Amino acid sequence: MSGAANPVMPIDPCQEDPEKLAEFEANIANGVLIEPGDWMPEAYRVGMLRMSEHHANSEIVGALPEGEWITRAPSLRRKLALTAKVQDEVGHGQMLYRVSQDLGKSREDMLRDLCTGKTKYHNCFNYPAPTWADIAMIQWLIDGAAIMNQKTLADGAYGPYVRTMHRINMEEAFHFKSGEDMVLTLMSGTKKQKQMTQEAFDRWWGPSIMFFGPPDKPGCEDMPPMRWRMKIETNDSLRQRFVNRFAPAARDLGLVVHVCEKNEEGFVTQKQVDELCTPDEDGNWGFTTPNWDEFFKVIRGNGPCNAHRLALRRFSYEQGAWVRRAIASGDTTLPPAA
Amino acid sequence: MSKIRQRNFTFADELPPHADGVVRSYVVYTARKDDAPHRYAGYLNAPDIALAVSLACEHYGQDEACTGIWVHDVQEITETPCAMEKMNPQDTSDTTDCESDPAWVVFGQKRRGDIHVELASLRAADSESALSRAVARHGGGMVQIRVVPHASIHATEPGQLIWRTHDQTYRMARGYSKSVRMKWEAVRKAEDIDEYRKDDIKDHF
Repeated sequence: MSGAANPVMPIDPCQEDPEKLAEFEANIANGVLIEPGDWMPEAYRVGMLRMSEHHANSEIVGALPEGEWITRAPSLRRKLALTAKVQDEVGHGQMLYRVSQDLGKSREDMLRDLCTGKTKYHNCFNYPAPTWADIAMIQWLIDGAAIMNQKTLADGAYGPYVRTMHRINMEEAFHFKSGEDMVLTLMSGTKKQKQMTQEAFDRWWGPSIMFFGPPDKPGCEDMPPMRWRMKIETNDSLRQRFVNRFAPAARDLGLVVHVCEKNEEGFVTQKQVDELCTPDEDGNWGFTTPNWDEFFKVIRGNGPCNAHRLALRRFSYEQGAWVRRAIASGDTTLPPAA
Repeated sequence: MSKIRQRNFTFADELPPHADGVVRSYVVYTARKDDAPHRYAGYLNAPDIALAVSLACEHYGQDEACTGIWVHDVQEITETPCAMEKMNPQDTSDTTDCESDPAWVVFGQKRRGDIHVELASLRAADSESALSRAVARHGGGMVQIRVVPHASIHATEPGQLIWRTHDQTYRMARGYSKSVRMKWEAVRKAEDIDEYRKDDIKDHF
């Protein structure tokens, strides 16, 4: 359920062998997919590693807020679906860690770097999910955004990541459809259900708009991440497509797009109708620019749930250490009491 | 929220050390129907083959209808480099398999980015001759050929229940398509629904 990170290119591609680099770029331009045994610029390897590791981390952490709701799902079918979804997300993490392993980082190091905050995961999972309607919104808006993004990533250039994206997207389709069904059910329910759904929508619309990352820098199409087809559509283009799809759908459901102010815990304290959220003559829907200060604050670890999500992940990692030891070496020493 | 999630966590400064022991990487293939070729599903990490098969059933065996799973250690693969163009093997002068030689399973990748699919099996004395024989016989139209010793592939039992037979539409997009469409039709015009649905991943509905 995640968008991959905007890959940062930490190494100057100009340091590479110019002939090999030219051949690599020609292959990419011709639509050739890169396989693990091929020569690739170091910047490409490191960029792809960061992207797939960030994506894997996001799958793992993204399962945490939803996992908390399995025991409180409103029906057996919803409980089965949510259990399957959480299982899927963790499985996606497993597959993406494997792609990352081939790019040169051990799985154990990736799991540990996530626990210690050395590596990041997607911002949107640092917001609270206090009601069942939040679970519906995560699956409708966040998984909907993820599908838009991952459909484009499945047209990327790195073969193992592309193969994994195809498999993941098959399951994301179920996550999205399940969420859509939940939102439609809630919005055709009681007044109280509709109010709960509107409040959840207010909490998740902003993070959904920010899902695709910060505004594009000028010339981003010519920079390595897009030139090398690590990503193939700009953040702003994906964001506009998302708004064009979901703003009219929300309106038809009876939901109102608000511009919200939130407190430190991520709960809405003030809101007003987003007057910009109407279509222009080209059919593009307007939207109020997200609060990018909030975006960067959350990235730096100061969002409403950053500390809690990481603490829970680390708690699970430490509590699970004896299982890993038992499996790997037959040492069955019991863990300390929780 | 459960009590364990409400607690205030406290940790030592350092993470506990890495778990010692060898965890190996395994490749998983699944078959959607009896007698259908096995297709690459993904990788997983496990300490031994028995647990790898078990994990493969729980993970890859539950993603879609599945009647059989193959698992082998990634180290058992012998393969050609992934070619830029489809192979067109010229040397097709092949020898007959010797029944006393070990068996090998041949997998092929049709295009870069595609998955590896089971093509055939053959017998050869070693991995090198197995690969050259596999390329000669099955390499045409492929960008990569892979051979794996048959003895290294661990398979689920024929008839083993992997994909559960009860109604699992709750975990598939198509399990919701009809009800979602009906609910949308109660609040939206058909053309708006069609426009909205064009960003669905249609292959899976």
